[in-house]
Amino acid sequence: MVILDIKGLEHRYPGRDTIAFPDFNVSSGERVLLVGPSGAGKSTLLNLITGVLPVQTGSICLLAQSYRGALRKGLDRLRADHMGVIFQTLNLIPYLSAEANAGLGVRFSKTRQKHIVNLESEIARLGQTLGLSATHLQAKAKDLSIGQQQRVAVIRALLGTPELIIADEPTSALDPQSTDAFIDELFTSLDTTTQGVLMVSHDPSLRERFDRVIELEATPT
Amino acid sequence: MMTLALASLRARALPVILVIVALTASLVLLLSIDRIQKATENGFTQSISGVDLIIGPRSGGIELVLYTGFHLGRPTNNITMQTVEAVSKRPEIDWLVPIALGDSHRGHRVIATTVDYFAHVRYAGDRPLAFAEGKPFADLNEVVLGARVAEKLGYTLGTELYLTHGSGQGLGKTHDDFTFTVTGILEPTGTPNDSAVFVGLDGYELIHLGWQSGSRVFSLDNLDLNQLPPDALTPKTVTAAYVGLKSKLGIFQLMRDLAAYPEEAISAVIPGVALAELWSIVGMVDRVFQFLSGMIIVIALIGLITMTLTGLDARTREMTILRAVGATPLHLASWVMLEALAIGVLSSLAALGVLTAVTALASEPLTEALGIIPEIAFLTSSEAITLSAVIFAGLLSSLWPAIMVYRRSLQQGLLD
Repeated sequence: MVILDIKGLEHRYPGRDTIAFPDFNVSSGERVLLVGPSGAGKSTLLNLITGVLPVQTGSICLLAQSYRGALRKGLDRLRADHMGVIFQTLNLIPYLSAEANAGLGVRFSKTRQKHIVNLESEIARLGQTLGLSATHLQAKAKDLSIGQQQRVAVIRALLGTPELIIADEPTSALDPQSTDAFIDELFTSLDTTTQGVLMVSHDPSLRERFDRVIELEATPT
Repeated sequence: MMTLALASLRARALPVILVIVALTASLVLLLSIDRIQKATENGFTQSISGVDLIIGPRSGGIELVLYTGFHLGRPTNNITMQTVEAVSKRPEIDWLVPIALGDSHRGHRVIATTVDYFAHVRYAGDRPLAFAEGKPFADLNEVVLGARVAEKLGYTLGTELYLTHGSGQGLGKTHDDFTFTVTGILEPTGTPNDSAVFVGLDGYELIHLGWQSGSRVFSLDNLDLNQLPPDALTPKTVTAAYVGLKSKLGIFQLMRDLAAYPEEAISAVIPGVALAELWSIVGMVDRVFQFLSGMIIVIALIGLITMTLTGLDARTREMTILRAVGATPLHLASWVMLEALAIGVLSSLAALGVLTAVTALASEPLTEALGIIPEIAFLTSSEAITLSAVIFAGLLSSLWPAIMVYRRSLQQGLLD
């Protein structure tokens, strides 16, 4: 099943050149890597996919729902119900516990809440898969290491089984050994029958871990 | 969202506590001024009931009410008993109770009067003075105590005491040549009557027989009371008289008549009117305090806005995370407003707690100074309105940062 479908997508910031994106899609169970030099529009593309930036030209469809003409509230809902987002760093609210941070993933989505019978045990299950103990989950986010924080962000993104996991260079702050372990744990935690991954990374060693690599070209500004 | 807002407030405990303290302090200031003023006003107005007019020497109405009813200040002049008797015979008069002031007992004002005082003077609407123990004075050497005097000095029925010439503790000379015996103790009333010592006019006249110009000329020790002429113990002058009228319709005409009384310069005041006059003067000062307290609340609210605005940059990441998990700009704006609401509610609750303590502490000095026991409710409807208004103002003041958050979350991307 196609989760994300992008066709003829272009975006132009005021006073700058238009960024044109290649057509591509992400299907269930597929792991897609997005690469490109700085200024190629990776962040713009992710902001368009998450529905934060409005679609100007072309189309984005998530689970066959087009972003064109959708209200901002509707896009917020799509993001809450069907996307899990992992940032490069600073993924967590520092004063909340790891468990509370993870739980934020389903706070704004009734759809995702329906997929969970018991939130605490689901967080604990995912935590176990990702190597986080109960002590880690009870700790304040600010007291965890960067790697542990990234794992909590993965739990948050996966909780309630959203169809599309978007990760923006989640391994950039990790050493090569931790990067491998992190990617292993992320892919192990995925439900390959329903979920797809779209990840941005500069790390060439990751290419072979993905089903498909989409390259963005630098755009003159 | 409220859980998140509270967690966020806890994470910024110090500035949040400072804003809460500022808001609480300003609320306490505003409400305590209002509360003490109202409690005092109620205490004053409830102290003299059932008295239609107070007749005394020609002076200011407020002054006359204050020294007769509340034992504040001292009379500058007396009125003759002849005048009092003449007034009492007027057809409009239902009852008249003369009172003579001037002496004291261990700091408590002595009221020399007739037993009619206990029958006619009322308090808190229409509540009569009742005896907790004993009975009114019937003889020259009998004395009735207010509840507070008996409690404070540990006096009971049968206790013997002397009166002191003049007002004020430790001042004047003691009438130690004549002993009074306690025959009655009044129930507590929360009025200046609780702090008063009551004797009959004849007894009062007796202890002053040997006195001239504030000094004792001869002692009563060697005096045979049976040898006194029949009118020797009838007072020549009294301080004032409480008057009850058969009908209040003619009250203003009677006041005019008494003001023009040809034999003596006297005046009559309606206690309620004089007190209203007093409160209009006090009210002006009160309004100035209230204005200043209002300004302090505004400053505290500006502190709240400043704290929220200066914290916005530091919280950009939190907002991005919440947007990523599906929070709408409206959610984020409401988050900021919920924080302001929580601060407003916490400040109001803290203010109520402090206010209760402050008013309880102020109650004793008020009783000491004015003789009244203010009735203080935990939360009056006007206080509830003030607190709600401040909470609402806090919410309103958070609108600006909330709008900023709303706009910023629309403009800012999740991933950069």
